[in-house]
Amino acid sequence: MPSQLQRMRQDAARILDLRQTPKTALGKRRSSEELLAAVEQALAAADIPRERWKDSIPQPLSRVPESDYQRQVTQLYFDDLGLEKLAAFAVALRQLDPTLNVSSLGLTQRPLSGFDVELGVEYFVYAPQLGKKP
Amino acid sequence: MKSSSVIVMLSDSAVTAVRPEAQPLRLARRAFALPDSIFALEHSEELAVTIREVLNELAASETPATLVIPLNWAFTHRLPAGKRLSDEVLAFEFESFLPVALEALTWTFVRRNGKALALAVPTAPMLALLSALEREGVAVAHEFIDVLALGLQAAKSEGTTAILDQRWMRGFTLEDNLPAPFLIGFGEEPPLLNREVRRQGPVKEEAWTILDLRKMAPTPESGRESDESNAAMKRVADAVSRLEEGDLRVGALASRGRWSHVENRAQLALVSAILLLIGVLAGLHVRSRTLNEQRVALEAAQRNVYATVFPVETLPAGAALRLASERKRLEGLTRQGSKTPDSPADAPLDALRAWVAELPADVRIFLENVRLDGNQIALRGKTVEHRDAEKIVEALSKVEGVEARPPRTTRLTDGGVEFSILGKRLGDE
Repeated sequence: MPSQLQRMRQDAARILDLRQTPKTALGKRRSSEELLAAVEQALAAADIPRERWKDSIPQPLSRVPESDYQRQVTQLYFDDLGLEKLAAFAVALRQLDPTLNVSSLGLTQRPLSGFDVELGVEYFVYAPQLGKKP
Repeated sequence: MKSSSVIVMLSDSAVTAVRPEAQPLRLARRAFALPDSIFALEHSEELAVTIREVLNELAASETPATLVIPLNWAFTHRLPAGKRLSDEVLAFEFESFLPVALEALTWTFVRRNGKALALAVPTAPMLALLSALEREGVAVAHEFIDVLALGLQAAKSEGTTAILDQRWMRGFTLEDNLPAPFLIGFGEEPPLLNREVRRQGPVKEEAWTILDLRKMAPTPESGRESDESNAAMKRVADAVSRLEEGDLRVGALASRGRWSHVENRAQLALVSAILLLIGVLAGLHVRSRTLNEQRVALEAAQRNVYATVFPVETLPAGAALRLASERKRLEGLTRQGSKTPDSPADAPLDALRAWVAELPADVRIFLENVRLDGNQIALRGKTVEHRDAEKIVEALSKVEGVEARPPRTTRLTDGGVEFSILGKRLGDE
């Protein structure tokens, strides 16, 4: 059984290592404005006109079963978006904010070209439950 | 100085205890072979036990006793002593007549008519006897030499007292200092004594009383009843009880009280306990200092570790918990803990890309609707024929983690088929 000093050394080394690791979850729920600002930046990075972005609907915050995390999903709606632009947007969004993930994708072919896109974007909030066993 | 009310007399062959004030005379006696020299007394404890027994018989064990020792256990010498000569000067003179060093003796002087009678006993063996008596619970208040007692009280005695002393070690005379009726003879036979009496002439017509100090059992010279021996014994005891000089319970042999042996043991136990306590305290002090040094060193090490994460000058309380908590928080934010949700991480787009990559180049597809999420993949669109729809399913099945069902197709009136393909993400129930 390691001594307290040994455990402190292990924890300190791990902390220094984790501080260099990109965060993939948030410590608290972000505001809608923060998320929408990231979407706008990703649209600009993917060279997608802002007016293609039609709507965004945040879903209720839900607890991921048997975990210390909550999931916040926001549905983004785009019109007339090609698959290539869609992929560029997804890549740019992740580059801008590694905590954001694409959780669902819906494509509906438009009559002439392009797709109406329903994109689910999620992020996790680290919220351990106190006193509860997994 | 007043002697105690019980007197213990040691002779060559008996130990006798006497209550001189009791009427009638009360005495108790035990046989005991006393050595001629106190240096030959090897077992003081046995003698002490015998003394206690005779005292118990007289119901006097609680009474401080006067011990009367035989002359041959002592050193004596008569010295000329002026009024201004101190005891120390007399002792220096006395030592020149001694066969042992004066430092080994306990001595005193009886001054009378310009002369001093030096009396001394060996300190070590006498102290051993007195200590043994203390352990037996016998308190000795005074200590006299038997012949001294008789000699100094001879003027007050009735009749003529003759003392037979066959002990060969030395003689002891007081005739220069005492009235004529007091004689000390060194002969064994009564005729020798009678010759002395005839030479000096009897002072009184009463029968003489001869005290044989060898047995402390007076023998009537004239054949009187043996009960006179008790009277003689009483005279010795009376003489001792009135003594005011010559007490050898002085110096190193001074009385330390009835319970001195208990006090000695208690003092020894107390000293031992104090030394033990000092030792324990010293050990605890050393241990405490060592532990304190270790604690300081440990705190310094912990502070250095803590400062690599949170720069501080002093180690805060709960530093270890603080580090553990920070580690858990960061692991949670990087989703590297044990309870992290599966990260889809662009899985829908990855699945879509992978499916497209598997599609044969000759398959023409018009996708009308695509739904991909963490649970399923749904494709709806149009293709040329049902066989193409099957190829689409085959391509979808090649995507890792996807299980595709056979397509459902509907032939269109204007040609081609409409397909509906549903795939399940493997691992999800």
